Amino acid sequence: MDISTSEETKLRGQLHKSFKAVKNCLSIWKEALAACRQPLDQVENLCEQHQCCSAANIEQSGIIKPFPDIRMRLLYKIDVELEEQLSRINVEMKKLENCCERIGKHCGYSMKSYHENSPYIPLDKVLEQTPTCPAISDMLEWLQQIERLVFQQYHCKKYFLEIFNPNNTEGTENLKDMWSSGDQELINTVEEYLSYTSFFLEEKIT
Amino acid sequence: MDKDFLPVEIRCSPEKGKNMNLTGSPRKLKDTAADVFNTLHRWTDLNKDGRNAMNEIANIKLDIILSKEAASEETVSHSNSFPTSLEPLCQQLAEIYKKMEKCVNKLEGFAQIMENLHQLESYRNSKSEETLSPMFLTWHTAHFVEATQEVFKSYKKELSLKKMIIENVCHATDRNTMMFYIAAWIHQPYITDNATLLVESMLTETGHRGC
Amino acid sequence: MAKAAISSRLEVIIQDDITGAQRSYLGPREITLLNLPLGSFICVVTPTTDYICSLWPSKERNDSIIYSRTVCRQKALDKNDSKYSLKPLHVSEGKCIHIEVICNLSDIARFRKYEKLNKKISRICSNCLYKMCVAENFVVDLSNCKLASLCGISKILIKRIPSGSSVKVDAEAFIVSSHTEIVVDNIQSKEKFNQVSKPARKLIGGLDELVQTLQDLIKLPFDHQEQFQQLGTSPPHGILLRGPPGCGKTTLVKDIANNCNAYLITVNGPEVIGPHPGESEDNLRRVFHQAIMAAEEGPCILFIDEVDVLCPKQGKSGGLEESRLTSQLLTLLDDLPADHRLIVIAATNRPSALHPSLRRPGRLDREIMINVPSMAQRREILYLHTQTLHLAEDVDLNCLAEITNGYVGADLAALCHEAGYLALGRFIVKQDETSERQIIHQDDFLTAFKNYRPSLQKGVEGIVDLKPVLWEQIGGLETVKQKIKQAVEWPLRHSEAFVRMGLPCPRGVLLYGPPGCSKTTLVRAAATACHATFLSLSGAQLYSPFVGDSEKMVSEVFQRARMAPPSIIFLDEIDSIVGKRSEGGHRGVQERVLSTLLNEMDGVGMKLDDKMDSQGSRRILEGSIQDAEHVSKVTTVRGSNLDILVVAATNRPELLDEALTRPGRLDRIIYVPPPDRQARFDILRLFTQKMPLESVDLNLLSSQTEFYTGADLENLCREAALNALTRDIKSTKVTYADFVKALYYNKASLTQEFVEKYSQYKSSTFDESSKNKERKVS
Repeated sequence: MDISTSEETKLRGQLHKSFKAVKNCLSIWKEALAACRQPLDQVENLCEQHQCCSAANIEQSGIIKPFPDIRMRLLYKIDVELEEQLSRINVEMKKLENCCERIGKHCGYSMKSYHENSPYIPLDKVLEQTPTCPAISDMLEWLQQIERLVFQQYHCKKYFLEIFNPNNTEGTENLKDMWSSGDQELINTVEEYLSYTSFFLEEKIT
Repeated sequence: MDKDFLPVEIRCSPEKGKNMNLTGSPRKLKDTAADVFNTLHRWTDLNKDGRNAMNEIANIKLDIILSKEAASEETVSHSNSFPTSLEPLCQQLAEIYKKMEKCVNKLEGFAQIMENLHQLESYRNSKSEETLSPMFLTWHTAHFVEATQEVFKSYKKELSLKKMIIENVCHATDRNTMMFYIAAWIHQPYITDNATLLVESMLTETGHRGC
Repeated sequence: MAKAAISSRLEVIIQDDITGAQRSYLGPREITLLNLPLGSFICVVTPTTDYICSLWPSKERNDSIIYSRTVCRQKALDKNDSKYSLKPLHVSEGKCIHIEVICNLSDIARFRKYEKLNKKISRICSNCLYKMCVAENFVVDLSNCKLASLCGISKILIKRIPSGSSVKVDAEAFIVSSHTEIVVDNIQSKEKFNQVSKPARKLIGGLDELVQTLQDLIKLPFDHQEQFQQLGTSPPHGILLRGPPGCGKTTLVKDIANNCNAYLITVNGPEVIGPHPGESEDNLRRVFHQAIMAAEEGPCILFIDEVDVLCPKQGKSGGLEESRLTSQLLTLLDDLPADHRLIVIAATNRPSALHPSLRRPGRLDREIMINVPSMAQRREILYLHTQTLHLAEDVDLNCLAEITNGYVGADLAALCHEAGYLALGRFIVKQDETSERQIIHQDDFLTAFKNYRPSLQKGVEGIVDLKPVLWEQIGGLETVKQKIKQAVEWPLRHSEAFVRMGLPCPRGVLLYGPPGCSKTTLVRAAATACHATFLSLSGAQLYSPFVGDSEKMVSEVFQRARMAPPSIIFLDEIDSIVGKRSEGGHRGVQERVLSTLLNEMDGVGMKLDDKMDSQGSRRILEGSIQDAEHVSKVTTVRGSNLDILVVAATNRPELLDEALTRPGRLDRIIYVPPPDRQARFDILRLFTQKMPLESVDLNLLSSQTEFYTGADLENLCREAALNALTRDIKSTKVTYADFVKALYYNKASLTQEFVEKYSQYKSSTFDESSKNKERKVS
């Protein structure tokens, strides 16, 4: 690498930190998603039970005459179970939210650092890329992109939980698919960006 | 004993760790509480076995229901609704039911024991003209009686529900009803939160559950 | 701030932004020119639209620009400049942004529920807009935003950003952050937004009065609901539009929806019908449900085109399916909520095929008739359609409007297109003449006019391809010509003169005379001269093996004629069509046709649904101011067979039923005599015009051809020419001898006796018709 100005070094240092944070967040993110999988299965299953129990035409058979309050009791039990599973998911959601915030902050730091230092770094330096190190402009763009994606993904998930209603067949039947749609794309994108920066991350920035 | 401060400081049952020394009514009470817990544990296991059997039945039945729906026009002969593969499962369920019935009978016995203990204690206390003091921490014998009675009642009700389920599950004609039976089996709607809480309290009271 | 223009050699690529990231990618040169740090927001100004994007270097580092269309603002059309440019923006963090949410119609009910929890929806919007840069009047397209599509939000319109809400005073654009307060001013459906944001070009002409009436009908209930409630009256529920196809029913409704700012839901009758039982009703219910939902949002018009398909008259061919659909439609109409802001407009071109209960009050209780455009209306329509075309100086819309009788709006539009194509074809052929601009000449219109047949005349019996004949092409018969002009051309062309004189227009003209004396040609010439719709009926056309078919055809032809007035119905060889009512004889098909004809010409009335109330349009056509009293008198006298002239021709007048020739029917009786000497001379001259004659004395010839008819004379000339050729194939002259030879072989088809018979008939009927004539003349 040729001689860098101190401003450029500062900026690179910040980017280094930010991508480290992103890397860290990604693993937390993945773990949290994995932890959600089991309770989600449960939720899906319980929703199905809930709907079937609400819809079952049991009064007709007359068999359940001795149990007049059975439907109510059963639904109550299912709902309690649902609550429990949802609260487990919410714990993971909190972790995702933290990731979101952290990435957002780092994106802000890096942009700020760039804005502060940009008058002293010529454009060709910003656009310069080497085999081991991507251009500063690219890294900034990636950071913004990652922030956007993570923000959207988190809020989509949150929205699902908000509108969750075990009585709503449409919302629950493919809850899991809807919930996890886009997860893989997000991870792939972030990993792609991280792979571009892998050499850069190993570098020591003084 | 300063009762005023009791709720503030959660103490362990005074008998904790002094198992050996326990005699008489407290001893008997504590053992019964343990028996209740064990019986319920057994019930839970049985329920799990039943759940597996139920699931298998459900799979078989749902296949039939689905194929029936698909070929709604063609008259599916009645015998098709009850394939032979169901039989061993029903047998299994019947056995489970019998075991559960035993559990409930046991519970009834425990409730009786509690009642007897309570009467004995009341009789004693009425002689000594002392106010009723708690057996261990806070509960009087009457509480134990109430608790075991409550547990017994709810399990008895649940047992009758199980009976109904076992009798009818193979005759379910649509998916919703089938699912209803399974959910009812799994979630045991008549075992109330209260009953579960009572058992836990009882265990804490008698020192089986540490704090 | 200086604008950095995008250099023209740049390649501009619009990116369909999959990430919704609102970015643009520029070459390093442009970035240096802009002198802005990366990530700054800029405005990409294109000829039609402005886009806000953040600034990034392009991946290839080349001089192209790629920009996303996520945040855009349509420019006003008149401010079009064809330049691309980039504009830096003063950006600050927004404090408070007022927005309008545009969502799917199906989700709107859910959002209305939210309105009470406005916080929730504004939070969702805030998340959707997170880190975006917006400015007033920009529309944020969220179709690529996952969160937004989950919630059913398709777009967000930035309504207003209160001034002073920004840190920097001169900020032009604002970034949405988690601290930005989002205020949802309004929620509207995507469908409505799209409709309103794209105002259609006004393409309806000549119906201003009607538009006003309809608008009042629709707007009043929308705007003054309280007054209606106070008065205790309920606004009209439904309107039935009727009129021939292509006359602008659909366009009219679209135009009105646009003017009233109402949401228009269009249903085509046939679209609703599904193959499965119950599906059609279900479709219909869904449409009504959708309309009611949209009506909650604002004025809504439900337009059912071709309603006759949905609601046919029972008993005709109605299956169970149809009657179920009918009753479903009636129920839906009855069940419309009383305080609705929904108006149902149905359109049909066959009102007589409708189930009558659909038209009772409370359902479609208003009926509005749209007619075939009159001349003035046609002129207006043509004017509208030619607005966008490059017309040559010589294009005369007045003339075009005059000749396009019977054309409806759609036909006129097609005519203009056709003319455009012709012009295009001409310019492609002679490409070398680049200096001349591509313009459309009058000739193009006229050629198109010749090629195009108005839709009203398609698929009808009796329409003939009329070969235009000019009066000058008919030799002799000056007096007869004058009479025919008076009987045929005047009532149609100068009807205002008739009105002025208080004259009833003649209804029918009977031409009689020996065969071959150019009766048919005379009528043709008359039709050519007055551009009337020309319908021809002959005996052969009329006869059908099915009972009742012939009569139906007669009625149909009359109905067509009424649709496109002025029109001429020509009954050739009328004796063979109707004949005479025999005394107590058997009642044949001829008799039934006769009675239909009599009824159609001068019946008590006609089926109300077939009636075309063309008085209004007629007045416009005449273009003269008359006092109302006068007009009303005239219209009552004229009745419904306005502007329709029946012209009959026969060579056996004595076979006609007396009822046909009485006043009020075929009351002008014109004898077309065999040509006299002078006439024969004229005819011969016409036919020999193109022949190389040698020493042929036409005068002599005409005196020799007594009792020759026009047709005979034509034949004679042809024979003579053939004789000349027989003599010598290389012959270049037709000599007198040839004519003599031809005369020898071709005898006159008339005889003295024959001609006298007509004269007798003439004198016998003279008394009767003269009375009538005298009355008229006075």
